[in-house]
Amino acid sequence: MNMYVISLITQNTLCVLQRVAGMFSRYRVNIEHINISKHTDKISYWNIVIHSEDEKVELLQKQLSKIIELVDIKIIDKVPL
Amino acid sequence: MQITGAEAIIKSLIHLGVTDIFGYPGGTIMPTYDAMFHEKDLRHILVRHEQGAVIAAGGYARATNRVGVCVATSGPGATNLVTGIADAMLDSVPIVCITGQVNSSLIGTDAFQEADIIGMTIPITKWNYQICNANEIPYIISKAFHIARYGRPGPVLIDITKDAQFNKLEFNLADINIHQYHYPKISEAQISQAAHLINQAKRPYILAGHGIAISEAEQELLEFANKTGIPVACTLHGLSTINTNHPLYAGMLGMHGNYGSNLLTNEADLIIAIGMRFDDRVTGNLATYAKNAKIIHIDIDKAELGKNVFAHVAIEGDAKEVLGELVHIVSPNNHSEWIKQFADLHNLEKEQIVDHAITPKPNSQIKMAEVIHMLSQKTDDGNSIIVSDVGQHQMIAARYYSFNKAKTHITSGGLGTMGFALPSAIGVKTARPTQNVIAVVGDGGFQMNIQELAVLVQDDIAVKILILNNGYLGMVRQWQELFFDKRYSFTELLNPDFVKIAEAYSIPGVRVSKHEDLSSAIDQMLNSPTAFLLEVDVEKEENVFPMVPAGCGVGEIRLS
Ligand SMILES: Cc1ncc(C[n+]2csc(CCOP(=O)(O)OP(=O)(O)O)c2C)c(N)n1
Ligand SMILES: [Mg+2]
Repeated sequence: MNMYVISLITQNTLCVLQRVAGMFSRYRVNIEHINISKHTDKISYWNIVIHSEDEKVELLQKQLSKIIELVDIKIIDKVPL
Repeated sequence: MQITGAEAIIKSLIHLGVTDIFGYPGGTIMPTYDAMFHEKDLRHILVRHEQGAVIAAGGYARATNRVGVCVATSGPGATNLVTGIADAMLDSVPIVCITGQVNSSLIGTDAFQEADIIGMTIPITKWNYQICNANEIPYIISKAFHIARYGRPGPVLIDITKDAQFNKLEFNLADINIHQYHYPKISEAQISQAAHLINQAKRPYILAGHGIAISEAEQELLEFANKTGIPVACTLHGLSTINTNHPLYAGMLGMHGNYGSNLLTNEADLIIAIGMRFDDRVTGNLATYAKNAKIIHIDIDKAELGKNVFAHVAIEGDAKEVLGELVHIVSPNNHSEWIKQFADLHNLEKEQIVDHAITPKPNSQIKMAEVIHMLSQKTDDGNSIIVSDVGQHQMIAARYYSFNKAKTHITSGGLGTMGFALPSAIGVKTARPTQNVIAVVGDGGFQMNIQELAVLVQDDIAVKILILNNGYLGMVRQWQELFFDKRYSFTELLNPDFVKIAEAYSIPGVRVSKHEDLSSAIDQMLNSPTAFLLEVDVEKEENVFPMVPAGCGVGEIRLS
């Protein structure tokens, strides 16, 4: 089990939180911490902290990339628990 | 030009090339229905349940690779679409669903027929969007079409409030972008690595999936297989991407696929998986799956690469383009020893299963396989499309029909949606009016969307219906027999007289229960200029074999 810090850039639209959060719950990954802030009217910056495993995080990252409103996704930190 | 939002919806659809839509009206979508009333360029087919509309739109899309469109009202109309949307999501089918929504001022008030269809369909759509402002309509509809179709296709839902349909906008055709599809650049390094593995392999094996049909790469697959001499197995959705009579055709994969094609997966030293996603019904237990093989996985969806099975070479790209490039750099080869292994197991399966299943025995009931085999022989000109429902008859249709033309096999694979065949066949026949469209259904599944019979008459859609009636929810009964000590818990069906039901809709039909009547009844069905229902009473407790029992590996496939 590791702690991952994931950073996202998304369009700042209705429902985008639901789309992203739904993906985590579908893979049964609990969100430990989340911070979303509007950057411009159109773009939001996100930081999400989860506890999971590499394989699942890689799949989650690919699935999240398919959200139309998602602009960028990066795993910025991984710390063994 | 100032027009209403509703008119903009219809004009946008027409501009995007839509000629047929499937739908059902209701309060919040009435402005759009009004705008359709005088529209000669758009054929609207009135279904009898919204599930019929969405599955028909999916059938239309599956048969053509064009976007299928359905329309429904808010609330119950929209929620009735859910199963068909999930079906399209799992089978990568491009559809656009347009739903009405209550007035924007009423959203959130639990207004009459208000349902949060956006929230409900987020996990089962590729994209969805709610329009409250008429000005957004042309752009959003064109975006919906683009998203539904590009890359890995899928369903899109656009929810449009009633006021947005009533309000005026300045309509400009230029707002409707007809997008070009851009696929990711294929990695040259991966292609040459793949070619290297292919040239070295002693027992290479192609697994052809739905992606071949979606990217229309049937010709490229054929050239690639012919040049390299590699055997080709198909997934359920890969069926009809290669002629089943081709000498390199190795059979169907999966739980009820062919014997050799499953068993030899574990002998292969190289697997070239094209547009398939190593679904659990194909792989069985992953811990023992294809352990002797390196894997080349080609898919347009990066998320599929390495999802279930590790890919030694993962190529993100469109099957047609990738195969088109690969074919030039692989060496001509043949693998006669390896092919013979398939032929031997094919013969074993033929002796132990196929011959018994298709040969009528005196004083016995008709078997499903016998019906499908005969149908296949009578329609071997390739002008027929088989649309199957879900259950034993589906597996029998997949196993015993010889598919010799592209896109002649349509079924609900991923979601396994009972009730699929009739509405889907309506969509297929609408798109392919000159082809013979035959819905192969079970007695259970037929009753899940039986109301769509009315559409065949009202809209003059000559779908042929072949009911394989075993008086059971047969596939579930088979599992009960094999794994639950024959406790047939609620799987026996007391059915109505299906021919009489057809008659009530003015659809001609016959019922057959004797071998000697079968041939002429199938002829009668095929020759009917209108819709026709053929009900065949088949053996009640027949089982589909071979079978890879749930949880077992493909190497444990059972012949009985
Ligand atoms: C909507 C839906 N409900 C339940 C199932 C589970 N299920 C799969 S096959 C099957 C039996 C189908 O019976 P029938 O249509 O008579 O076909 P048969 O297997 O007898 O050929 C059932 C109940 C399903 N696939 N879809
Ligand atoms: Mg049945």
